[in-house]
Amino acid sequence: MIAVSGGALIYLKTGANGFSARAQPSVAETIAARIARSIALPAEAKEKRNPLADSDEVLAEGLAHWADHCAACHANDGSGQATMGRNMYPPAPDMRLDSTQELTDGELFYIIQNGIRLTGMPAWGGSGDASHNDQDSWKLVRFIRHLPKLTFEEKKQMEKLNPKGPDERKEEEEEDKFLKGEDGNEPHHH
Amino acid sequence: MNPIIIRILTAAILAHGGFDHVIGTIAAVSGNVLTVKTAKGNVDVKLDPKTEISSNDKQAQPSDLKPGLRVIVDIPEGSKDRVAHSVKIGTVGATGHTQPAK
Repeated sequence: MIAVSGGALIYLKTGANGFSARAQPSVAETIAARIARSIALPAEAKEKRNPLADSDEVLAEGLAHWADHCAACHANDGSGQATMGRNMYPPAPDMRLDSTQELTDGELFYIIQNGIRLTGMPAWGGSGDASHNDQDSWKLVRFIRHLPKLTFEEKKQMEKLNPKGPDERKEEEEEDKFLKGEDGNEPHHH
Repeated sequence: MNPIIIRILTAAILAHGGFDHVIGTIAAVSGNVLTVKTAKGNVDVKLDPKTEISSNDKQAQPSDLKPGLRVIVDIPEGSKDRVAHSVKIGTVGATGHTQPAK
C-alpha cells in the first residue's frame, strides 16, 4: 500500500503534470479506467433492454435531446470535439467508435443515469432536472446507436437546436442574413 | 444600418463557440487554399477532406466554391495551420442573383 501510494505520488508530481487537465491520459490509464468501469457496472444494468422501440420519432427526440443536453461536451456528432469535451481529463470519448458502441444498451443507460466519477460525465438520473427523465435516457441510447450513421443534414439540424446565448443567436441570424444577401449590402464584385 | 451588420461586414475575423469566423466573399480558390476577401483584407484558409462545406444547410462540394460568393468560414480558435472546420456558402452570387438551392 505504501509502495502504491508512493508510486502514485511520484506519478502525480512528475508524469501527470500535477492536477492539470491539459495532459492526455496514458494508454495504461485509459485501459485501467475502462476495466474499472466495466467491473463497477452492475450485472443487471448490463442486461437491461431498451424499452423504446427504434422509430423515427424516438430517434428525432433523442437527436433533439442530445443537441440540447449533451453536445456541449460530446459534440453533435459524438466525436467529443467540442471545446469543453476535448479539454476535459479524460477528454470526452469519440462515441462513434467501438469502445462506446460495444457497450450494451443497459450499460449506456446506466452511465447516462449515474454518470462516471472523476470524469466530466454527470448523473442525469434523479438529478431533479425536469427536462430529463428515464425515457429521455433511453431515447439517448437509441440516438447513440445512430451516431456512426449521422448525416450531414442531421448535424445541420442539430446546430439549430444547440443551446445558445442571446448574443450568439442574434449573431447567427445576422450571419444567415449575410449569406442570403438580406443584409442590405451588395456582395463584393470581382 | 444595424450595428451588428456593420460589425459582421467590418470585422475580418470574429470568434465564438471555439471557432474564429472569417466572413466575406471568395477572392480565389487555388488547390486547397481558399482566399476570402474581408473588409480588412484577404485571408487565406486551408480546406481538407474533413472540412464541412454547405450551402443552405445542404452538403456542398469544394467545386461549389466560386469567386464572388459570400462565405462564412469557421476555423478552430487559435489554429496555426488555419484549416477550415466548415465553410458556409451564401445563396447570393457575385451578380446579386440567388443561387439555385442544392
